[in-house]
Amino acid sequence: MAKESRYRNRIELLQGTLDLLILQTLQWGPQHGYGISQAIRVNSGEVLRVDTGSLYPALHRLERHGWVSSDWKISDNNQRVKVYQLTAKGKKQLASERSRWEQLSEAIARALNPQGEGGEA
Amino acid sequence: MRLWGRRRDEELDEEVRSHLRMAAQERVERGETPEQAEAAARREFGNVALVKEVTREMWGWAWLRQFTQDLRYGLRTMRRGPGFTAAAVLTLALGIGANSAIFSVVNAVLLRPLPYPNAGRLVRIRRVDPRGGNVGGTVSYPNFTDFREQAPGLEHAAAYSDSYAWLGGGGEPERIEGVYASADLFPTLGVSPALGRAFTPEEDRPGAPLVAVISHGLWQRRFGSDGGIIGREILLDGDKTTVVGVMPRGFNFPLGRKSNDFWVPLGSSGYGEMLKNRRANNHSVIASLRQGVAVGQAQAELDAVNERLASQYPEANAGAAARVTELQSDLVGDVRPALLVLLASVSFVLLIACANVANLLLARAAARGREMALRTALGATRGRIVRQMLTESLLLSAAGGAAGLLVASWALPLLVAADPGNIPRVSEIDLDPRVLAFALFVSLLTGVLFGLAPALKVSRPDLNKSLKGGGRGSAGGPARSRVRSLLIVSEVALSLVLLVGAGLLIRSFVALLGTPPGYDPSQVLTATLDVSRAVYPEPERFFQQVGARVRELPGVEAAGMTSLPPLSASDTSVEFRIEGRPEPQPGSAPVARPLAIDEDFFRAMRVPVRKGRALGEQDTGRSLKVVVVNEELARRYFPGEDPIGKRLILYHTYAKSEPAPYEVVGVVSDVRHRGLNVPASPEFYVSYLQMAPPRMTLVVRSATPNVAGLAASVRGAITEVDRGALVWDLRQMDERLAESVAPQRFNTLLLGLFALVALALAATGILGVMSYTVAARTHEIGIRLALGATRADILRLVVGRGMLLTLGGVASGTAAALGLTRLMSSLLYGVSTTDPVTFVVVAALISVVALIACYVPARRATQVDPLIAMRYE
Repeated sequence: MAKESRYRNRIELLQGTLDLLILQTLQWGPQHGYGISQAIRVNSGEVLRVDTGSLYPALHRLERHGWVSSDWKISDNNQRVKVYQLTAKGKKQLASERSRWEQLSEAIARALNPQGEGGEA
Repeated sequence: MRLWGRRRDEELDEEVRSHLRMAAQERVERGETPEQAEAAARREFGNVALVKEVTREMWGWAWLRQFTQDLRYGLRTMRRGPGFTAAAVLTLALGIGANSAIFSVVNAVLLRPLPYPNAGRLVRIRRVDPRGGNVGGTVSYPNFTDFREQAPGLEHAAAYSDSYAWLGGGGEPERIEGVYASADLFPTLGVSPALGRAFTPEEDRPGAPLVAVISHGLWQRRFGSDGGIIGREILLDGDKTTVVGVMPRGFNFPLGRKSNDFWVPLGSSGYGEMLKNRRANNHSVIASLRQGVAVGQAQAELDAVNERLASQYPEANAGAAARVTELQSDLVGDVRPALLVLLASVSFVLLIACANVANLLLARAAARGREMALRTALGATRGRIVRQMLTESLLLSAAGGAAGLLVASWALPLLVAADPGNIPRVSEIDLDPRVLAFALFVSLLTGVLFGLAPALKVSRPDLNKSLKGGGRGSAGGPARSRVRSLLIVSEVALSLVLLVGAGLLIRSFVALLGTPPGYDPSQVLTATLDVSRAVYPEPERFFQQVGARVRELPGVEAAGMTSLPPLSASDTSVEFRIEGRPEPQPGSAPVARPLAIDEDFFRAMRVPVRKGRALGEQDTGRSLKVVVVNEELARRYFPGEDPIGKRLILYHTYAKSEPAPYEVVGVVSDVRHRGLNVPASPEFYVSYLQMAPPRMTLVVRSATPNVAGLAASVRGAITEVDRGALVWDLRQMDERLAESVAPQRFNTLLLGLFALVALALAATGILGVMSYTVAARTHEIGIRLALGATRADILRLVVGRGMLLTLGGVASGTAAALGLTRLMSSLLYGVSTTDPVTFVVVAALISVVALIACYVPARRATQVDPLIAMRYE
């Protein structure tokens, strides 16, 4: 039950999609966890809300893979925040995840609208 | 790692805090009050602890962190329930301890390689004679040399004979045990003396100067670890013998005997004549295989050699074969089945112990339902809870294992002290790393075994019910009670199998003790007199004098002598001919065991004469040669005929005897010379005056039950005749008999003990489950009583359910036992593996015990006060 409530309020992201979104967000520059979640929300037109229970494990996992690196910085209002940054390895990963995502969405789009090939089949 | 882990923890905390702060700040900027903003930010964030937890899992060390957490939690749980913990750990300690103890015996005797460098390549070569007779598998010396020279797969081969010697020099001669061996013995085993050298092939020849290699123990004990022992002369059987080597500490060969103190060359011994005799199958043979040669290949080579020998020397070898077996399996051949049965039984005990602990855990799991529900509500996943529960059960089993090792280290000396005498390498039994690894493995296995079912149950609680209700609730639902029922059924079944095994052994043992040995062993004293090694011009006169002197002693009813008392290890058979019958085909000549006795032997041992007469004073060295045969010989070689008056041609019996006809004058009843469980083979008795034996055993029948008191006066009478007389083995016949059944007693006692423990554990298990059921159903019982059920109804309800499970256990246990007892058939005597009496009695015994175990909680159920019961909860 607790398990269910944990997932109820969010759109299930496909496996690996969150990684892609994070990497993409970090392409604009270093950012902290809260900032990343806000950016994803705003950039998706308030559709995607990233659950903290997914965001932080994902950030720490990406860091362990060496795709992002982290640093403690002092924020504008003088507070210590942990800031994540894309690494060179992360950039490569982003490119490959992007192309995979494009292939996938194209395939899904085709599967959802099969008119073109429908006549031939 | 810990420090680093803590820093990461702190950083994660800070990261989360800064997240919350920023989220709150943004809300404040949008116009919310700081309190509202903070609460909203928290709500939005979700379960902080859970987020941290899943984030930490990304670090890779999650399992370790969780494990230490579970460990700490488990330890706390153990401390909180000391009664439960003690019961579980004790039960497990008993099971694991008994298993480790029996496994250390199996390890030392069956698994550990023989203590020789060539251990892996050593084989025993036994002669297999279809006529029987040669039970020891010994080989004649000429055959042995042919084996060695003609089988290329053998690297070395050695012949040896167990023997003894009287070690002189200073005070009374000491009887020490040792071996006559060919010079190849040491290269075959791959060992060399620690001091000096082994004897050479040149010293292993007739006429060579006498040399000996002695044991480390003898060197220490008799020669004060004198470094100058090499080259010194010692007196062995009165002969000056030069010590050429001292073996390393702990060396022993052959291992069938607890210790051996000397090894002397076979070739230079007084057995020169025998070594040329192809029919004197008197030597044990071992060999080491060449690298890469398999036992099967050696067997094929020896088969070929044997075939040649059979056609070349049919009178000695027709029909005989040679069998090659690994030395280790040859050595443990007899004890292996018994040890494996014991190991299997003791593992059954452990299984029952596991079932009991699982029961305890299940009962406790029900009580902990609320705790688990709470943890689940707080975000613990199912896997996490299973892991935590398994950690707890592994903690229990680890504690049980540690305590079990204590039990084993305490039980092992007892086990070794109870050594029935037939277990080789008993002195090597210890708790070595392999036993420790075994105990660890068994502990882990049991932990998972008894922990998994309760863990799976507990991790699937009904949250609402558990949290709202008192947490004690109902009996735990049908699924949980099904597991409990299964545990009861299997406990009953397992203990039934053990009890049947023990019952069969007890019945065998009773049958064994009830077997008439063919003589009356009570109030009989035996003492062996050796004349082979001492100088007696007329040994017969010495025996006669001793006999006469002992007969005069007060309290002596009769005193006789025999060359081979019942139950002595030695075993020889000889061929003979029956006068007037055609010469038998080679390999099919009649064989029998020869015994030399005096005229009083049958009377002293109370061996009844069936036909004709016993030997008497009229049978002397100068009178007609006569022989008395046993019933088995008469049955086998004179079927439907009266053997009295027939003549047997006996030869090759003792060194001095010539082939000569002996007239059969009597038939005596069979004596079980080789043990109560071995039917008599054909035997004949000849007067010692007509066939001089190298030693005689005095058998004295006491007129009073005080046999022990007679020992001193018997010894006195012997030394009166000769102060230098070599006497040993002064013992009561009862004792010898008891010793001969020691292996059976050992197995029976151990298996009986295991079965009793199993029964007690199963009874506790039933009692526990029924008590729990009654406690959990108090409410229901109260309602039933209130609705008019009588106390008898309640009693029937509870007992009925328990007995139903018991009957299920009895049925499945009987089925299992019917299959399993076949494996112990070699341990049984006079009783079949499916003996109905044992099965019925055991089933009845278990049912009665189960009935009592059900009745106690059932009675408590009838005393439930309906009012209190219904208010309860």
